[in-house]
Amino acid sequence: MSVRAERTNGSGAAAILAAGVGAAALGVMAVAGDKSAAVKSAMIFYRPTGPLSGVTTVAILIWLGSWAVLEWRWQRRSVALGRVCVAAGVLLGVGVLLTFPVVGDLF
Amino acid sequence: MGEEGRWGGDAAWWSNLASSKGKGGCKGEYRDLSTSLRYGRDDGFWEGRKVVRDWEGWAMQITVRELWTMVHGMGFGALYLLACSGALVELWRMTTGRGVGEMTVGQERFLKVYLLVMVVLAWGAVLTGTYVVYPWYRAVAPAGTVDLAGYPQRLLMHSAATSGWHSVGMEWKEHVAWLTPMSITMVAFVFARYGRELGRHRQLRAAVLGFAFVSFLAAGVAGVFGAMINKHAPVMGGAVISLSGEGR
Repeated sequence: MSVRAERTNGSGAAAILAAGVGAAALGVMAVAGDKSAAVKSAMIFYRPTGPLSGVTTVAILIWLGSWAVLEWRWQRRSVALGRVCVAAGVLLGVGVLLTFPVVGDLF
Repeated sequence: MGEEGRWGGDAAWWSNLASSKGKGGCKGEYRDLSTSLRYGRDDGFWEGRKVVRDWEGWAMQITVRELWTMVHGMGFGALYLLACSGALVELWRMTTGRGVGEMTVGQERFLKVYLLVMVVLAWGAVLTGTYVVYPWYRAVAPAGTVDLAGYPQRLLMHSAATSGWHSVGMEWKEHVAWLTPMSITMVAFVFARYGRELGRHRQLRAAVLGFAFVSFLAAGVAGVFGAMINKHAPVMGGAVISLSGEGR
C-alpha cells in the first residue's frame, strides 16, 4: 500500500499572497489613474473604455506575474502560512479601500 | 395606421399615451391605439412611433445595448452572487472542520467544477461590463446635445441629485468588481490543487474563505450600484430585437 506524501502549503500560499498583491495593485493603479494626468493618459489601452482598460490590465498582469514568481519559488516548500495570510489580508484590505473613491480622494 | 411622431423623452411619451383614446390592457381590448417604440438610432435618442391599428398582442422589444446590460448584470453578475452564496456555505463547512473529512471523490469533483463555473461567471461579468457595456455608459455627448438619454454618465452628472451615482457608485463599482475574478480564481485554484487535503491546512482554508467572502462583497457592491445606476440612467439604444409582437 502506498502512502501519498502530504502536499506542501507553498503553492496555496503563493496563490493567496499573489491575490493580495493583485488587489493592492488594482487599488494603487486606480488612485494613480485618477490623480495623475500622465498615468491616466498612459492607461488608455482601449479608447472606448478609457483608463479603466489600462488600470485593470496592469493590475491583472502584476497579479499573474507575482503569482508565477511565487509559485516558482514556493511550490515545493512549506512556508510560514500565518504571516503570508496576514500579509495577503492587509494587501486585500488596501486594495478594497483604495478602490473606494472617497478614500482615493484623500491622496 | 396613422400618426407618427418623435418624442423627446419618457414624460412626453407617457403624457401622450395617457391622453390617447386607447384603453390599454389585455389582449383584445386595445382596439384604437397601440404605441410601439423604437430605439433604433445609434446616437441613443428615443424615437417614438405611434401607430393606430388593431392590437393583436403584446409587443416586446429589447435593444442590443439593453440585452448586453442584462447579460452582464443578470446573466453573469446575478448568477455569480447566487453561486457564491452556495460556495461560501460549503467553504465555511470546510473551514469549521465539518464536512471535509467526509467529502467523497464525487463531491470533491463537483465542488471543483462549481468553483470553475464561478470563475467563468466572474470573468464574464467584468469583461462584458468593462469592454461592452461601459463604453456605452461613458459615451461623450456631442456639443449642444439637450437630450442626454443616450449618454448615461452625462445624464447622471447633469443633476446634483444623481451625480453621486457616478462619482461614487460607478467609480467604485468599475474598480472593486475586478477583485471578484481575482479572488475566486485563487479560491478555485487552491481547491483544485488541494481538494480534500484542505482539511489538513487550517490557515489555507481560512484564507480561501476570506477571499471568497470579499469576492462576494465586491460582486454585491458592483451589483447594487449597477442596478441603481441603470435605474437612474439606463444604458439603451442600438438595434432593436423583437421578442414578440410585430415590433414595428
